[in-house]
Amino acid sequence: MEKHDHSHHHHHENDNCDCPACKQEQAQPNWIKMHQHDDAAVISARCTFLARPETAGDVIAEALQELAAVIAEKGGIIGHIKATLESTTLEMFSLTDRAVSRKKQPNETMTLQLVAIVFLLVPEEAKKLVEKIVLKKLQSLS
Amino acid sequence: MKVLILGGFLGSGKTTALLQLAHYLVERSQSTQKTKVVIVENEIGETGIDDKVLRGSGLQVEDLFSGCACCTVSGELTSAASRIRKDFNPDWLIVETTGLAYPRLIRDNLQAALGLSSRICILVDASRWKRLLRPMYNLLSGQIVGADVVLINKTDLVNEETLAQVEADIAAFDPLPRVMRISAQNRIPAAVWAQVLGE
Repeated sequence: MEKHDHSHHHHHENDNCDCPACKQEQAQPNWIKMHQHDDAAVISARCTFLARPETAGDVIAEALQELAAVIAEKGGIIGHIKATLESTTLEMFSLTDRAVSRKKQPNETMTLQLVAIVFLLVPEEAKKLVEKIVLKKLQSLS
Repeated sequence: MKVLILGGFLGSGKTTALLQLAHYLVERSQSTQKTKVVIVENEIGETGIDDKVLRGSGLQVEDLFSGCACCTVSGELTSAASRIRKDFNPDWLIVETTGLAYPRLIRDNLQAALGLSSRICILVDASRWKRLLRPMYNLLSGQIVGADVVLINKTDLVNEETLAQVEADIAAFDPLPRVMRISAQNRIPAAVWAQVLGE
C-alpha cells in the first residue's frame, strides 16, 4: 500500500536552512519547484509582481480556473490547488512646514505563493502548466 | 497532552473543520494552561498555505512543510511533538496531516517514539468521492482503515443516494470507525466533536 519517495530535499519555511541551494532560493523573489510524492506531482511556487490590488485577485482566480481546466483536459486529477496573495502598500508622507503631502503608489507589491498537487500528469508537464498559465501571466502585470 | 490526528484526502475540508474544532476546544476549556491547543500543520508543498489561514485566526501553529509526517518528515513530527509537550503542555495537540498521509502511521510513530496515544479523525469529500474512488483507491482506503471517526463532509453538495454509497464504501474499507455526516461550511454540532475527541 504505502510506497514513499524520500528523494527530495527538505527544508522548512523560516528554518534558515544553511545549505547553499536553499539560501539562494530563499533570497529570490520568484521560484518554482516540483517534487514527487508517491503518485502525486507537488508543484510549489512563489511569484512577486506589481499590480493594482483591485484587479490582481481576479487575474489570479481566472488563471487558476484556466489551470484547472487544462489539467482536466489532459486527463490529470487535481488533488488541490491552493494559493495565498499578500500585498505591501507603499505610501509616502512628506512635509517641510505643517502641510503633509501624501503620495500613494497605485500599484502594490504582491506575492503569490502557490501549491498545486496533481495526479496522472507527467510532473514536468504539470510544472510547465503552472509556469505558463499562472506565473507568466502575473509577471506580465508588472 | 492528548493528540488528535486530522487526516483525509486533499480538499476534503480538514482546515475548515480544524478552525471550528480549535475554537470549540479553546472556548469550552476549563484548563488553566495558557496554551490550550497547539496545531502542527503539515503541508507537502515547499511553501505554507493553510498555516497562514490558521494563524490569521489567532491559533498557535507549528509548521512542518515539504514532506509528509507519516513518512518523509516523521522524525521532525516526533521532535516537534516532544518540544510542544515540554514547552507548552497543551490540553490538545492537533496534527493536520497532508492530504497524502496515512494517519495510522503517524499514530504508530508517536506511540513508539513518545508513548503518546492518538485519536484519528478522517474527513471525506462526499462531492468528489465517486470521481476519486477508483484512481485514489489505495490512498483513500489506507487513510480510513484504523480511524476512530470518519466525517463525511460537503453533504450539502450531494444527494441522499450518494451519501449512502459513500457510507457503504467506508464500511467496506473498515466497519469500525464511527461515521458521521457534516457540512464544515456550517456550524459543526458539539455532539460531533465529542465523538471526534472520544468523549
